[in-house]
Amino acid sequence: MDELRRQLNRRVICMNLLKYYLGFAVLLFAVGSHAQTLTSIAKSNSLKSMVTLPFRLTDEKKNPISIASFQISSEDCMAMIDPNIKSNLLVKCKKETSLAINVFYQQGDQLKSVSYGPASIGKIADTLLVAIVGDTQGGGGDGGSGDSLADSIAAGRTVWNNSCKRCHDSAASKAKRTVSQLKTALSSQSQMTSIKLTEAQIKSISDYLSNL
Amino acid sequence: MINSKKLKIIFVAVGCLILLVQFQNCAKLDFQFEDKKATETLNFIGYHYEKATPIYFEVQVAPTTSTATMQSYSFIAIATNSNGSTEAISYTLNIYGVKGDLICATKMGLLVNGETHISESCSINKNIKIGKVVFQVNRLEGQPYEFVKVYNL
Repeated sequence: MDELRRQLNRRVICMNLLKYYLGFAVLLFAVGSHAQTLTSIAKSNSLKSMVTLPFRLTDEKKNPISIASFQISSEDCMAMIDPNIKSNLLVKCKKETSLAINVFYQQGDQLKSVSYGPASIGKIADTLLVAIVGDTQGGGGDGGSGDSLADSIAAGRTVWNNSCKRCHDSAASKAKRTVSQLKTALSSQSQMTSIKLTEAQIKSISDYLSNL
Repeated sequence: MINSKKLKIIFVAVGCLILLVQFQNCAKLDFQFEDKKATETLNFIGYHYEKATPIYFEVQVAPTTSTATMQSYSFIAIATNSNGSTEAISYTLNIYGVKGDLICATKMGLLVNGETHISESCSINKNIKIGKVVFQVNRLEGQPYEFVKVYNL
């Protein structure tokens, strides 16, 4: 009889334990789950090194959320928030690696975070990539005549001396900057957003820096 | 007889501990704050969009196999809708020599169902250098966007 009572007692305890842990599991899930998600816009077969991989932060209704800051786990990768689309994070890895990302966003007066990964970034190719000497966005064209290029270089030197030299001692350190790279820097670097340059001025700086 | 009340208290306490552990920062990964390397990042990523782009696109070229006279190249590209949609993207890849002549057959394709990966190849005479690669993308019936990468002058 005592033995039976003991067995019954053990069963009751086990059932009670199960109830408690189920309750905690539900609580843990509720606390751990996020309505916001960071997803890779590129498909998994595009997760390669040396190509820019975009990630997007959205809420449960797929509305974009501005990213305030981020952390990436791999030393082989670099990332930046798209200066024109603040809900997108662009990541590029130098070689195959494992990538994990934490992004931070503002919700009211709180800073919250969402994670992605770890995900495997594969090697883009077995050989070294062919190195570029320049790139441009937009239509074709080869930059015009030699005379206009010389004028542009001269104009670019003037704009550089007036607008850039006070912070960047050496133009050589910024050699071969393209128009798009200059525009990105002017719009995303906090110390440079106050510098207002026309399209022609930016083009002339690029010509100057590409012909040092 | 087992003291069930004591056991219940112990197990509730263990459960609370498990709940608390979740909030501890036990990350072993070596995170970096990116704002210390802004310039280096800009150069490495090579952001080439002048304004908010509907399509992110980029191409890389890698030599693959070769024979006595011919060199093969692989053109690996990515094209994605910046809003995360799976809208189809049409692409065209033209490879020119240093004199501006077309040295490979034009590569064209359509990315559907959210596909983002492009892989094309071309074999070129070893005497010929790739001058530039012109990668053009557009949504169906949308404005085309072009990215030119110059390899040799």
